[in-house]
Amino acid sequence: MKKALIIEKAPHIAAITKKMLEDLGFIGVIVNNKDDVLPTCETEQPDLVIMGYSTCQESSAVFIPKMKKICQPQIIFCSSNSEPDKIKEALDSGVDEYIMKPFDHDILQSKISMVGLL
Amino acid sequence: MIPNDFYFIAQILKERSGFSLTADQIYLLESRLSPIIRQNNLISLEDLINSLKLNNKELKEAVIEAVSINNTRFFRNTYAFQTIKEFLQDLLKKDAQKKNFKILSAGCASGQEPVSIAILLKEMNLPKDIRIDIFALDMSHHIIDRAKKGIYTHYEVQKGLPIRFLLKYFTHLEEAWQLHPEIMQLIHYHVHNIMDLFYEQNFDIILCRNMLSYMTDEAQKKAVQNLREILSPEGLLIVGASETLHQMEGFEKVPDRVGCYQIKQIDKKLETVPKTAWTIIKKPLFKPAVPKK
Repeated sequence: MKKALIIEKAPHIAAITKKMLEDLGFIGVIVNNKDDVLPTCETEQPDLVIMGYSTCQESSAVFIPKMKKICQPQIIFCSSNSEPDKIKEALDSGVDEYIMKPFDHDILQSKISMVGLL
Repeated sequence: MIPNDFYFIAQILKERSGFSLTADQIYLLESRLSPIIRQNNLISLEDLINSLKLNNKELKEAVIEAVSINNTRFFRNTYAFQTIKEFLQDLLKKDAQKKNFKILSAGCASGQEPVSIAILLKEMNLPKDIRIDIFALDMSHHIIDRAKKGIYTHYEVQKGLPIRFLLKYFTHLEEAWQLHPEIMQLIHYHVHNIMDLFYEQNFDIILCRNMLSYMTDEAQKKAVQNLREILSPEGLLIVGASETLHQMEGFEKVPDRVGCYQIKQIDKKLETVPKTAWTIIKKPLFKPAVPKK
């Protein structure tokens, strides 16, 4: 089974996302603290990372290259920010797809298909 | 809903659009008719049926629009778009003199399919002297009016549309996204029911996906006949990948291409039949947004 890391501060969003991912056949692992992300990436070697904007906002441009040195997941950024400049910034930092919150199962499935994991 | 009411509405739908409703779709009828009852200040479903029996034409159209299936998304089944890309590339190779092409999206709903085709064409970087017109048809006035606006919700633009295309071809509005005019101008929307013959002819590609299989056999036969009339002799008809159709008279399946049909070419020499029109390329339709390091 493919493994997905959910980096999300809000417990309810993390839990819903985990359930959606499990319904899509992934093993979901939640990380709610920025400091735990890189060690978890190293041990879990996820195929997919769903990255909550609020958790990694300040340093995504620095943070994502660090993550990619440890593992090579497909990264989907997940944010309530739908400003094109912010989306572009995220893409430039190395994410593969971007989800604008709120989202549903259909959107998550569609985005995971786009990064080639479904 | 009592069976008589269900069959009364199913009959209206069948007569006008050829769509076939089965008894297990009562739930669908009830949920889709509720807004019409409210919007027309009617009290109940019984009230709606009585108004329909008085031959209220506007109400009849509203019911047909509400019940017709409008489930769509951008780049639905990417395989179909890969097929369009390869088929066009092959046509361009075969006939260098041909500069004008026409593609039809039959049953286009709110426009996600023709918009996806238009984006695909833009991404193909075709030579400047090549002109491709996309015609998009739906029998619903309401849905075509919506498609012509080119405005899609937050939810719609996230289904099937890669984020880099959203940034490249749409403008962010406060609560939605507006398609750029450069894409809009490639698409000609028309209110049209494929049970009637369309005035434009000689299409190189026709997409009629996930529609024919909802029709009665009789309606399907008529619709297929109409599509055959307007498809170019070497053209391609693409239906839904999972559709099993029994009324494809005059068409033959394209080998190794799911949901693809071409007109039977009995009178032509075997070598002119484009049996190996395209090779199957097993690669993503579009390059990933960010090159992998």
